[in-house]
Parts: sequence; structure tokens; C-alpha cells
Amino acid sequence: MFQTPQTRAAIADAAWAVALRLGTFGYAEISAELHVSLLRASAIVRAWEQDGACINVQRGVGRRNLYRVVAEFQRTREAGTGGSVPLNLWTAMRGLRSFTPTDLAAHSSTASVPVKLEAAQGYCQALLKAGYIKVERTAVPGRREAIYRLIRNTGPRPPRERRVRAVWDDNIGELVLLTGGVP
Amino acid sequence: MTDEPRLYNSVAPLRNVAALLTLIDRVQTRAHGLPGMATFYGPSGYGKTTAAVYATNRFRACHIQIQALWRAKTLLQEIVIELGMRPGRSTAPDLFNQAAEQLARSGRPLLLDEADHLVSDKMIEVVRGLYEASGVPVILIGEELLPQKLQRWERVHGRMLDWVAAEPASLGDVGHMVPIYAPGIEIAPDLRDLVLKASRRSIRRVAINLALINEHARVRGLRAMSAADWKGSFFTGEAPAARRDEMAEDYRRKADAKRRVA
Repeated sequence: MFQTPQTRAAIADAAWAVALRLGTFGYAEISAELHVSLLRASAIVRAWEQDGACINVQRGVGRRNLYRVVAEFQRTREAGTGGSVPLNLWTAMRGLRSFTPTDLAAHSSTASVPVKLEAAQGYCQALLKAGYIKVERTAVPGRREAIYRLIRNTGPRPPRERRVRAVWDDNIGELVLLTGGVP
Repeated sequence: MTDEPRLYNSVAPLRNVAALLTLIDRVQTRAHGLPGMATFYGPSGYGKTTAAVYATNRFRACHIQIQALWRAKTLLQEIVIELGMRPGRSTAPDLFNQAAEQLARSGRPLLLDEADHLVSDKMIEVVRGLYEASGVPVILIGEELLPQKLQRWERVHGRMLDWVAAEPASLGDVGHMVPIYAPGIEIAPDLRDLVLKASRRSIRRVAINLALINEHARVRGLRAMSAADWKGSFFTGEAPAARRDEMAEDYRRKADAKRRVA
């Protein structure tokens, strides 16, 4: 079966979740849980071993290879959780409902995705102009921050600011996006 | 959490956030055969939802805030939407299968906030079913009496790996929040004590009160604050007391009316 890089990454992530749950595992466990071939499972596990994510605890003639997850290993474990700055900020907004940019940054910053206060402020500005949030208490520059409230909760995927090229048409009073070519 | 690197300007080190992160991590890496549900409970204002929001970002969890009027199908619809799919006009069993499959595939923990609303037999069985079908950690978050309420359902009660209680805000928590909400301002221990007392154990109120101190210090150009510098009043969340003047006025008016009648 042909696999895109995305599906391959998703399988590796799911495999890591299985490995974390089991602690000690062999190729067969990964293969059975994810419905991938033994060959594919062994390739994934051996890649982890090279990265230092797991160590071999049993091998030899007549005995199957067993691996154990290295608890201190951070990178892959974090990579498996995904997340991006807008996604974390949007998740925090939806959870907190009413917030200051400081609240957002404090709830969004994780080890794998550090979020700066400036990023939270910028994201709030963009969503405020787009009508996703409203000002609940105005800011006093240099003294206190604004408090915002989420008013348009559209779903789990984060709305993002995009700069687009468009054509303004005075006849119809609309922006027409440049999509490139006649449909 | 021991393997978490020290994070500055994040709520991760707060006591209740750390407790929830550790709980989810423990359920996720449980030994084979151990149950995979858990409960995080405590009175309102202790920062349970805040902790859930942070945990959602940390573990890419599926965080659902259950509402009072929801039924089993609404719950399933919301879970399906939260997992990034469109529920369409599916029947409840279809939605269940969709949610269970997607949870199992992604391995994302399921955090059910306001789990006190899971009162009907149907809803609680749906949650148990989702756990059985997907094997992902399911964390119920709710009020102080949630563990007692869950006792009604033996099958759910028996699947809990652990019950973790949210703790009131501590001085340590105030210390962690000072650099976030009052950056660059030194707050003396006596003022920290005062903040903690005025906030009456609530993390939310600690944040508000530290922001008040921050504002006060910036207006006066102070770099350090102690209890002696603080003249304002803190946000305590208490209902306002009856006003003496108003009450006296009311009393006088009534007395006058009585005299006039006499």
C-alpha cells in the first residue's frame, strides 16, 4: 500500500502511543495493534532504538526481540502530541472562554511548543478584527491588559491569519481571491 | 511531573495542573490489564478546568465541557466534532462507532469536564463504552461529590485507576504565578500571604489579585511591593455586605410612615 509521509508519521505516532502504554514490547505487538506488517513495525522500532527512544532488553537465538521505552526520552514523546502555536492558543481560548493574553500564553506554552506573550497578543488582535472574540474590559496601555471573550467557537481547528492576494471589484463590491486560472 | 523540563511563564508547575498531568501520564502508561479511567475532583475555583485546558494542550487531549441539558447523543456529537470530524445526520450508534474508532486510532485521552452532568444511565454507559472500545485514558473531572455520585454505577466505579482530589491554592502556587501576572515586580512574602488569604484558595482569584497588584505597582512606578505598600482592596469573590446607610434610611422611612399613621 502506498503511504504518504503524513500517514507514515501518523502510524509512527500511533505506534509510539502503543509502546508507551505497553512499556515493554516486541514487533508483534506494534504490528497487531496498528494492522501494519511485521516488517514495517520492526523498521519503526529500530528507528526508535537508533534515536535512543527505546532499548533492547531481550535478543538472541530462539528468542524474540523485546524493547523497553526509555522514560527520560522527550522528543518523540512530545512530537507524538502534535500541537502548534495557533492550535494551542485556540484550544486555550475555547477552554477558558474569557481570558487575557497572559492567561492564554500561560495555558498554551508546553515543552514542545513554547508560546510567547507576544504571539498570544498577536493572535488575539487578529481574531478580534475577524470577529471571533470581543473585548470584555478594555486595556490601559502600560497598566493592565484587555480581557477578551470568545464569541465564535467554530470548532477544534484554529482559525489563522492569512495574507492573500485578491482583486477588488468595485462593480460588485467584493474581494475576489486569486486562485490562479479559470475554473 | 518528574520528566517535565522546568517551564517558565506557564501554569504547568501549579499544584493542581501538575496533579492532573501526572494522573493522565499514569493512566496513559499504565501496565497492561489495569483500568484506564480516572477521576479528578474538587470544589469549584480550585483550577480544575484551567488544569484541563493545559493538559489538553500538553497531551493533545479531547476536552469536552459537558452542559446540563446534554443527552447521550449530544455528548457523542460533541466528541466527534472535537476529534475533527463532521457528525452529519448520523444515528447515535453510528456516532459512537465513529468516536470510538477515531479515539482508538489517535490515542488521544478523553477529558470530560463537568462530569457531574453525566447523571443518566445512558450517558455514563456511553462513556464506559467509549473507554472499552478505544482503550484511551478517560478522565472525569467534576465537583467534590463526583466520586460519591459515581458509586451508583458499579461498572464505572470498578474501572477507575485512581481518584485524585484538587487541592486549594498554596503559597507555592502564588510564587509560580507572580512572574506570569506581575512580571518584573518583587512581591514580598507578607503580601503574598495576604493575596492567598484574600483569594480564599481559588487560583482564579489569585491571578486577578496579582494583576491588581501589578497595575497598582505600575501606576506608582514601584519595582517591589510589600503589604505596607498595598492600600487597595483585593477581589475576594464574597457577596457584598448590606450597606448600613441604606438600611438606616429604610428604617427611618418606615418609622416615619408609622408615626404619620399614628
